Amino acid sequence: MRALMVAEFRKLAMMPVLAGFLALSLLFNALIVAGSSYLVPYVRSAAGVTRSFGGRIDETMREAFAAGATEEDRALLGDAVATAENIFEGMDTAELSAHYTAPLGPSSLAALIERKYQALQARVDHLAATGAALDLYAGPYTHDVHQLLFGRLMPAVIGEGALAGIAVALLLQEVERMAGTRQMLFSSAIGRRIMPVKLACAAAVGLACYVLLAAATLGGAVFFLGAGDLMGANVSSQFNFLVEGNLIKPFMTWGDFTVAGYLLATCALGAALVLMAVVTASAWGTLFRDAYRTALALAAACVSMPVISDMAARMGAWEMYAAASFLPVNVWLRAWAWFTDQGRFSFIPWHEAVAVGVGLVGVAAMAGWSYRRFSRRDVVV
Amino acid sequence: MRLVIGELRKLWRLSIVLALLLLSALFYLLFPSYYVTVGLGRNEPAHTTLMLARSWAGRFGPTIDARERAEIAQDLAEEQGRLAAFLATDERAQALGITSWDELRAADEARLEDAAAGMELPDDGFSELWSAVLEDADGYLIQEMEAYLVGWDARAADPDYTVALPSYVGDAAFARVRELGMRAEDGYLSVYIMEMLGFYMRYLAVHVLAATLVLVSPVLVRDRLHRVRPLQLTSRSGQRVLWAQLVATLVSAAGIAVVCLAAYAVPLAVLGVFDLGSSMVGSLAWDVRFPWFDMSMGLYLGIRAAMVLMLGLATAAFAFALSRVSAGYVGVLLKAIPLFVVLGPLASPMLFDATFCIREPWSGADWVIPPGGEAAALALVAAAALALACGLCAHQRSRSGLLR
Repeated sequence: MRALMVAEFRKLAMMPVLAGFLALSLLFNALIVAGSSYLVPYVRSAAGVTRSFGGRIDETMREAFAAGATEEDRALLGDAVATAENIFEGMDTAELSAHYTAPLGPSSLAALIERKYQALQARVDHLAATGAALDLYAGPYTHDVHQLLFGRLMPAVIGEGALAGIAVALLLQEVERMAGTRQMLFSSAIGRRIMPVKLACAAAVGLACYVLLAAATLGGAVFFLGAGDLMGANVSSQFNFLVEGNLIKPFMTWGDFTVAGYLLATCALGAALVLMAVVTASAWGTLFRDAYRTALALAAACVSMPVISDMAARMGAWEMYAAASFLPVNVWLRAWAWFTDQGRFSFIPWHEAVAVGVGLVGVAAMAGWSYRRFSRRDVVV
Repeated sequence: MRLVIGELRKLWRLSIVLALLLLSALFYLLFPSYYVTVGLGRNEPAHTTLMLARSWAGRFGPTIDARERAEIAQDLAEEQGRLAAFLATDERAQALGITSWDELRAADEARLEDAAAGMELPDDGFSELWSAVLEDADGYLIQEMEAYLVGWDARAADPDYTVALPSYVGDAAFARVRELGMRAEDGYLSVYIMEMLGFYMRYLAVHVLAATLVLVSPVLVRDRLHRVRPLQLTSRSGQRVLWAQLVATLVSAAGIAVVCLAAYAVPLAVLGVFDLGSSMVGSLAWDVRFPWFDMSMGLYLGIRAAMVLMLGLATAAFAFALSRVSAGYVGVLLKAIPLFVVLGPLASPMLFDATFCIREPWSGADWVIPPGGEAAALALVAAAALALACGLCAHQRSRSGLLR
C-alpha cells in the first residue's frame, strides 16, 4: 500500500502544472493583500497599543493610553478607546429574530429561527458578562481587517485548495490514460483496487496544497499587516460587525473565539470543504471515466448551488432556501460569517459545521457507491 | 474546408454543448440577469429613469436643450399637480397637513435629519404616505425629473464643470469636460442606466470568455489522448490539420460570441433599451460618464459588442496555445483557470464598465485610461494571442519526426 501511494505521489511530482497553479494562486492572494495596504498603519497602531497597554479597554487601559500613547495612536484610536462600551449589555436578540422571520410568516422554519435566536440570547448574555465587546482588536478598522482575512482571503484559499485537490484527483485518474498504461494497471495484481489508493493520495496532496496556501497566505497577511499582537483579541469586539443589506449587527459567535482561534477553526472547516471537493471529484471521475466531463459536471454542480439558493430567495421559497443553505458551495460563499448567527441563511446554531459534517458523510457514501459500481463493471476502457 | 468542418464537428460535441447550455443558463441566472430584470426592470429609481429616457428619446432626440428643458419643467409641473390632487384626497396627507410635493420633500428631509441626529421618529403615518406617493402616485417620476432639472440648471449656471475632476486626469480630459459643459445641450442617460448596462456587458464578456474556454480548451489535448496526432501529421493534409484546428477554434469562438450577444440582447430589447439607440452617452446633469468622443448609445453598445467578439477570439487563440502545450485535460484546465481570472474578473471591469469614458482603470488609481485605450489594449492582446497560436502552428512545420 505504501509503495503504491509513493508511486502515485511520484506521478504528481512529474507534473509541474500543479506547482505553477499554486504559485499563481499565491500571487493572486498577494495582490488581494497588497490591495488592502491602507490598513497597515491602523493595524500596527492597534497592535502597538495592545502590546503596550493591553487589548481590553477598561479604566486602567484608558488611563495608561491617555498617559503613554503616541500622537499617532491618539489620532487613530483615541475616539475608539474613549467611547468603547459593552454593547452586549441589555441587547435583545428578539429584534433580530423578528427582522429575519418577518418575510417567512408563520411556519416551521420561522419557529426554528426564533429558537435559534433564543439560544443566541444566552450567548449574548455570556459575551456581555465576559466583556468581549471591549476588546480593541484593530479599533475602527476591525471590520475591514476581519473581512480581509476571513471574507476575502479565506474563501480564496479554500477555493484554490479545492481546485488544486480536484485537479490532483482528476490528474491521478487521467495519468494512465495519457501514458496508455490504463489496461496494464487494471490487469495488474492490485487491479481496480488502485482507485482507493488514488483517492487517498489525492486527499493527502489536496490537503497539503490547501495547508500550504493557507499558511503562506494568511500567515503572510498577518505578517504584512503587523497583526501578530492582535491574535488574542475576541472576534466579538464591538468594532467587528456584519453587514447584511441595510442591517449592521455585531459579530456574535456560537463559541468564544480569539482571532487566532477563529483562524484555526475556519482553516479546519476549510480543510473539510477541500476534502469534500477531492472526494467528490474522485467519485465522479470514477463514474464518468473522463476528466473533462467530470470537470464540467463539477462546474455545473458548483454553479447550480448558489443559483438554487438565489432563486429560492427571490421566489420566497424559504424551505428550499433553508435546504440549499446546506450545500457546500453556499457554505463556502458565507465564509465571511462562519460560526455566527448567519441570519436567515441558517436555522440552527453551528450551521456551517453541521452542513460540512453532513456533506462529508454524504460524499463518503457517494465515493463508496461509485467505487463499488466501478468494481462491478465487466470491462474498463 | 473539409478539414475545418471536421474539426468543428469534433469541437461541438453534444455532451459539451449541453453542458455549455446548462452552465450558461446557470451563469445568466446567477449574475447578469439581475441587472436587467431587477436592476433596470424593477428597482427604483433605475426603472423610472429608463422609462423617462425612452420617453425623452422619442420626443427630444439625442440630447436636451434649453427649449426641451422647459418642456420637461412643464411636464414636472403637471405631475406635481396630479400629486397635489392625490394628496388632497389622502387621509394621511390631510392629517399631516401636506398638500404638495415640496411640502412632502421638506417633511422627508426633516425626518432624515432627525433620524441622523438619533431622535426617535413619531409614528404618524408619514412613512406609509411617502411609500404610497412613490409607488402609487408617480413619486419616483417626479423625484427623478426634478433631480435632472436641478442638475441641468447647475450645469448651465456653471459651464466650467472641471472643478469636480481630480488633477491627475490630465489636460485632455479637462478640455473634453469643459467642451461638454459649454454645449447648449446635454445628455439624459442616468447613472443607473449606464451602470446597470456596464455590469451587464461585463458579465456578457465573462460569459463569452468562459464558454469559449470550455469549448476550445480540449481541442488539441483530445487528439493527443486518443493518439491520433501521428495519424493526422502523416495524412495527406499533414501539418495543415493544425491550421484547420486553429480556424475551427476561431470560428467557434466567433459563433459563441454571436450567440451570447443575441441572447443577451433579448432582455434589453424587451426593456426597450434599444429605443435609446440615438441618445447621447454622457450627461453632466446626471454627473455621469464623460465620454472621450461623442457617441450614441447604439454606437456605444456596438463598440462593446465588437470588443466582446475580439475578447472571444483572443481567448480562443490563447486556449488553442494552451491546448498545444498540455498533455491532458487537467493540465489544460489548470492553465485555463489563470487565463480566465486575468481576462475575466480582473480585466473585464477595466474594459467594459465605462468603455471610452474618462475614468481610472481601477479604484484608487491616479491615472485615467487614454481615449480608446480599452479597445487598443484588447486589440493588442488579441493580436498577441493570434500571433502565439499561429506561431505554434508554424513551429510544428519546422519540427522533424512524428511528434506529439
